Amino acid sequence: MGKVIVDPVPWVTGYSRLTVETSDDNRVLSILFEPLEKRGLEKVLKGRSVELLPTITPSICGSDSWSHYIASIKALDIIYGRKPPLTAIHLREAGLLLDILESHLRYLALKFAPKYIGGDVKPLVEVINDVRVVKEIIGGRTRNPIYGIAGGVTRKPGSSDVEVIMDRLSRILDILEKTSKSYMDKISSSREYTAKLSNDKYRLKNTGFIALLDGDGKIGYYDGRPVILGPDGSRRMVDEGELIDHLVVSSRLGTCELYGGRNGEVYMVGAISRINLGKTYSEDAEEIIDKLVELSGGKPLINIFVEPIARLVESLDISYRLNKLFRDPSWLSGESISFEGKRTNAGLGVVESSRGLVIHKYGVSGDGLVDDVEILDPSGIRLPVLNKLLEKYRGSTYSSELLDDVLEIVKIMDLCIPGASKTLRLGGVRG
Amino acid sequence: MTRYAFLELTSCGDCLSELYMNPEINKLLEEGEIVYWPAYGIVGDPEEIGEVDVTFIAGTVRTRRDLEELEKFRRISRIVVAYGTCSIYGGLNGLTALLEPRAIADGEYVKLLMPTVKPVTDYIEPDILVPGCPPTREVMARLAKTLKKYISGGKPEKKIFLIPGEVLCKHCPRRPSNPEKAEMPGIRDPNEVVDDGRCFIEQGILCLGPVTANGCNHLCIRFNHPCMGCMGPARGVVDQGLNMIGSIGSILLKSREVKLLFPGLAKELDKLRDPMGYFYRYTLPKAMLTKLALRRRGVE
Ligand code: SF4
Repeated sequence: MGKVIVDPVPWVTGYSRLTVETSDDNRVLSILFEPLEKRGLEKVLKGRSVELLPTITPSICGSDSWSHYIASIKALDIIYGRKPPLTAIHLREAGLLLDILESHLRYLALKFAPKYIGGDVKPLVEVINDVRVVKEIIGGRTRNPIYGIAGGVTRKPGSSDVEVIMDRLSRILDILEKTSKSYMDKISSSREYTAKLSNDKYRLKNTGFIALLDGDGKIGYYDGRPVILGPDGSRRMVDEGELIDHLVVSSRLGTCELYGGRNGEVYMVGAISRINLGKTYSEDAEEIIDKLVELSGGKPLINIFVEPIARLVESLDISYRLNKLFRDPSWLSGESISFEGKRTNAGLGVVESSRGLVIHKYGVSGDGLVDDVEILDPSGIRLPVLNKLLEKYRGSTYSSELLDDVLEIVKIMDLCIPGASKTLRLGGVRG
Repeated sequence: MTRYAFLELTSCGDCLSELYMNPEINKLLEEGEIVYWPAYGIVGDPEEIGEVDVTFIAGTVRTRRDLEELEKFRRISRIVVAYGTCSIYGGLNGLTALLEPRAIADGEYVKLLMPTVKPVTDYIEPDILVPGCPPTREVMARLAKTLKKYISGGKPEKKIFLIPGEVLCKHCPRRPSNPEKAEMPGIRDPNEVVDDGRCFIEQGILCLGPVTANGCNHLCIRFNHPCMGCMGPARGVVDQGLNMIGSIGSILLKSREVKLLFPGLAKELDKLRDPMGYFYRYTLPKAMLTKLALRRRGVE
């Protein structure tokens, strides 16, 4: 028997290890991906004053920090019994979209394009900087924003801010329109990539998809309701609370709990799930999706190599959405906070992030201290999907090419180990 | 060619990616070479990498591997930059300082962990310290400027702290016209206060401005958010939390002490439900009380 250990695993945020066990005749017996970054941050959320959680939870995953922040603020809205006014909703949504956009673009520019597209990634890096400027104007910081309050936001951009926002947003859209066209041309004519798109090995088997959709069936990043597309093709809307129960812990690795369904099925979340389930905002984005469907053999898109292109589609679509939002910023003249409401002792916040669903559920005691916490981070939901994909290599002859292939899948999954390596469900494991 | 390494220890995992994206820093990196950054596919054994000119380190030391890597990179690096509040004071990650390894992991994974979480500065001497969660654009620009001086060789003669150490209140746009007379009307939940634009303390909101270093140009304050202390203690402040408790207990509540004695000063202070979260959100591993508690547990 032999063992190949990759430590640390490259292209992963945070520390992890990959172990391939091989038989005497050099066949793969197992592949184990272990998140080894143990933090315990979620443990110290219990006992905190609930109003502090939005300032602590973004640290669960730095690259999706705004999603954790907004989910946390939404949970506070419910605990304080407040309904944020439209101005606040739009500003929160804009911040969330910008963070997803930045994460997608960083992935495309630094992880995907150098290998599959080539050429200069400078235009994308410029877009990332524009996105970061707008994030600072809206939420104060590029990471760990500070503009949320129960029932609203603490600051609205002024008229000079809005000018800068509009200028940057139109430049972002302009560059992304060009980039997405040229990327799609390159991908369509790349033999290596199109071969991957039609290779059965990269297909997500017995895998469902989950995404948040709004009332019109469009992707609802900020306030959509969860919809599940089961591995059997069934589609249903679920209650946000029910979703936590649905995603029971399917396996445990150290203290890293991985989320899957009760029947051993796993669920993919993030860009590929969203474009499988929801409609986009722009026709250009739909066009790219049609092309992808053609290249990868039908919908739902189940090849994992679709994920980077799905992130490109979303980047373009999110830029449309943001431009539309700020084209007529009259909504900014409204109130930014509503203080009306009666306190409750539980709150739930669900939003999308670049990697998929983020769920925060808090219980609060009479004196305002957190006595129950459940947080789902999308990397924790994605880990079982990765394990399932890696199972396919069992029995194959081990080679350095096989290892490269495995690491390529890990890279596509773009995991955030600080987010995935959590001890969740402090009240005990259910299911 | 200048050789750079990016070392990410236990943390939220984003500080160094942000640093990389900063245009001034990015320009420097483009003129040099990144020799280590696993998150972006550049891996290697530190023993074989050779000399590194500048190593950026973010995060805290929670695992034994964190410590090994940290010590190796200090040995091979001409300049070490401790980047982000985690690396200097523990940051948000430091809130877990009192958790025993067994509370964080089980089985064989327990052995991977150090007895507590500590900032990088507790183990090595960095050459440049850059606080912030995350550090601001201005501070990143200052870092690029500082590094330029040492690109072709040499290192700072003494530790460079990249933010001014003065207290945040000093130039705060909300600073009371007569701070001596400032009163704190009890302690309130910031979500329950209709902000009238005055100093947060005068509105009963806990703002860590009196004990925090100004490295953010009042970013939170300008967003109508009280200071959380993310830049770490101001010059002369040894323990951010103890100093803050001292401030509100003995100075700001003083003038109201007589009035408060009737519902009771102690009762008012009782409203401080979560002193650890409010006062040590970013500096718990450096707190005297943490050190005492750990010492009692036999952890130095
Ligand atoms: S306590 Fe806060 S709001 Fe008041 S002067 Fe100091 S920094 Fe400004």
